[in-house]
Amino acid sequence: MNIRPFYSGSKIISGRGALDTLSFELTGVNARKPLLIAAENERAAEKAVIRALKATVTVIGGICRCRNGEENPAKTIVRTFDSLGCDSLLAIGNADLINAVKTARAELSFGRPPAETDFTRPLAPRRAVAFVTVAVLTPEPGALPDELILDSGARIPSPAFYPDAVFIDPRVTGKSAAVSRRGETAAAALFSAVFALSDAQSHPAARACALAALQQISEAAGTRSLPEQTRLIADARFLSKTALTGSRFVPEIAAAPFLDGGKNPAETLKMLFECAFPALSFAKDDLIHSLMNLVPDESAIDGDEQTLRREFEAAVLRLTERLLPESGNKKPTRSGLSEAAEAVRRSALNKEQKDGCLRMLQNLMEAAE
Amino acid sequence: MKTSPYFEFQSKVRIFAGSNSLEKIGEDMELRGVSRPMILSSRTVARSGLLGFIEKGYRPGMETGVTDTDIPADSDLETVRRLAALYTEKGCDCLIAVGGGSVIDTAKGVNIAVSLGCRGYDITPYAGAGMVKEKLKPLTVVPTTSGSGSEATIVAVIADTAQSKKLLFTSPYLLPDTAVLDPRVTLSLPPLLTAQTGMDALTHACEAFFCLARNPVSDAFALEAIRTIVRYLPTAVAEPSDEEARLQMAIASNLAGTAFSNSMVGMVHTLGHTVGAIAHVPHGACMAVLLPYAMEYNARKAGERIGALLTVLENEKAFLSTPKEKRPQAAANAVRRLNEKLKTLTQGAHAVCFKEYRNKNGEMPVTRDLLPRIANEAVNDGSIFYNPEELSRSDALRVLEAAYEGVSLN
Repeated sequence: MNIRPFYSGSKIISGRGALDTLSFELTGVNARKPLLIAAENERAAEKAVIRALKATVTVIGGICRCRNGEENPAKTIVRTFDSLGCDSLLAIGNADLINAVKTARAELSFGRPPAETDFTRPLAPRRAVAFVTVAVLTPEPGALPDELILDSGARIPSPAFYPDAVFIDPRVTGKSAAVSRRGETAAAALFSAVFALSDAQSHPAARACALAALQQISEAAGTRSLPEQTRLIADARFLSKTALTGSRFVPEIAAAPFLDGGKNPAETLKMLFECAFPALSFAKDDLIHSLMNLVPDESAIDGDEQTLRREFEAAVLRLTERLLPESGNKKPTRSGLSEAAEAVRRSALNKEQKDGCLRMLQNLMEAAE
Repeated sequence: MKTSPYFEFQSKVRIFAGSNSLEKIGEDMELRGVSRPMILSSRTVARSGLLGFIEKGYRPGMETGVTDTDIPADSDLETVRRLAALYTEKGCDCLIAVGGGSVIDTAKGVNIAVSLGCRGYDITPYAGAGMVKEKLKPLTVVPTTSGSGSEATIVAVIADTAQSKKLLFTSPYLLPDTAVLDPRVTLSLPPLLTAQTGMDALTHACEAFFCLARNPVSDAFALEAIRTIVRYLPTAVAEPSDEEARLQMAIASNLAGTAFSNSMVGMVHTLGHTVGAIAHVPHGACMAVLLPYAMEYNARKAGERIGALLTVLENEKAFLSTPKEKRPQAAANAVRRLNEKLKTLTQGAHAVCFKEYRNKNGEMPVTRDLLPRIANEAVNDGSIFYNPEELSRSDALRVLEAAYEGVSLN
């Protein structure tokens, strides 16, 4: 009767006009001279944020632009932060950029690189560095909100990594560099939410976040306005990842990047969902609530638990087809699974995580035979 | 049901839920780098030995700085001053509150005084909205009733007895750092109080779901809370020693508290606050009586939302077999049936209408002639701002009269 702890360290401010409150929220977290860190390819989003800050006469300490694939961007961020005398971090960019900003924040807060810091022990920050993000669309799996991914690939969880606030504004998400990949982003969020829901032991608050994510994705699929659609998808992406923080270790999510070289995360998750579904367990109430969001016809919730499961699986796949019309029906191949297993063994995942992933891949291999 | 075009949501409290969660406090303190807590509680809790479980979980080098159980039913400035001085004198570095709303609010007040260096521990300069602007000392909260959800709110109410007024403090920094939901803490809660506080939690969740400031995340928290309350409240009342039911109720209350602190409440609280203030009826008892009437009253503006509650107040079969236009009434009736069940389980002590309510002395504090005064004062309560339907004095009186007699508005 012990339920996993749940903690969602970020305040979410979402919707049209969210950016207008950015200045107010920055003041609330004592951010008086933020360093704005933006991905080089997110200029349109960056402009929208700067416009919002200027409209409220907020001081910007400086701007640090990071290129995709840049070597050690965290070092550049730390250097710029110190040389300009900034006091907080405001990040706009994809999963890699957010990870780099988390790394920089940890270094600024604790005085040493996160790889040299034991986050399982008590840590008194040397200085408090507020961290706020403005969301863009990020189809890549990336870290969970409470995680940092080290260069080695190891994932460290700690409440210290949560951004203080996450802004999701259609004026920014609608201009994301990855706007053409919004279907993939939505599908990745969909499967993350479904996997988070399948954990009976997760905290109810985590399942509530997963259910909220499903609602946002379903609504996004039926929304015509592109900016609003991207906003709903970004909401869902953040909520589904938050749901996973309160869930068990999900081997499907952890193993996905090792299959297909991590090139098509949403398609890989779809494949894993189809393979794993028979073994996933869901609370009946969660199935009903999900179906009420996913299927417009009320009669979908009329039936026994097996019927509800079938309806749920079909609804998730129908929604995926709308989000990823080109995805087709990919099946895992024996050689693909073997390569993935080898990659998992070589990875920086811990032993328990590796074992979980390998068990799941083994089950898939048996099913493929 | 469309999502709100704009919303804010936060739930920054770390939650430990489970049968041995009190022992987890030491681990949490270690992570926060503190070792000498001031424990605030009630005499009843201290007598029960529950505080010992907290100390059992301490890591080497940790010890309780001081324990104080002399906290009045309504927290006040004088108590905050006294405890803040004690905190400093004993060299404490964090706070643990084990109790109901008063203990928790007192702890929040002490935290303001000791963290912000208030002169003479006077916290009045920080009264109001958003006046506390800095992180405070680590605060862990162990709620001993499953209803108020105050472990999940950014509010503290502290009385200024010299001025005969209540000071309201609101700030995100008043959110506790950690909430510990341990069923052992509520095992001794009597059935009637369990029923009333449970209905308080149900009201938080229902109003969070159908009032105006709702959002998709608070919706999901609210639905999960309602589902759990409907399933476990009767068991917690009928079998107070059932640990599973107690734990689920504590979780549900926390979820409901998180939902309403993000999306606010409506007319049940508008009327309930005033009934409580004028007739001295416990908050939970007011909520239990008024909730079905608010659902009926709001059906015109929020019928679809209230109707959707039928899936969790009853089940999907009841939802599907009820025509859309009749669902709001069916949902209100489901709450009435829950109230009736609680009345039976408490041998008639749980009131389903105001004329049935009796206080400890067997008196009937809500009388018919008080209703116009309650209606007059209620419409000035701030919570009405988020109610879907407007509420005039005459409307408030109509609802109160129906709730007094126990007859449906329709």
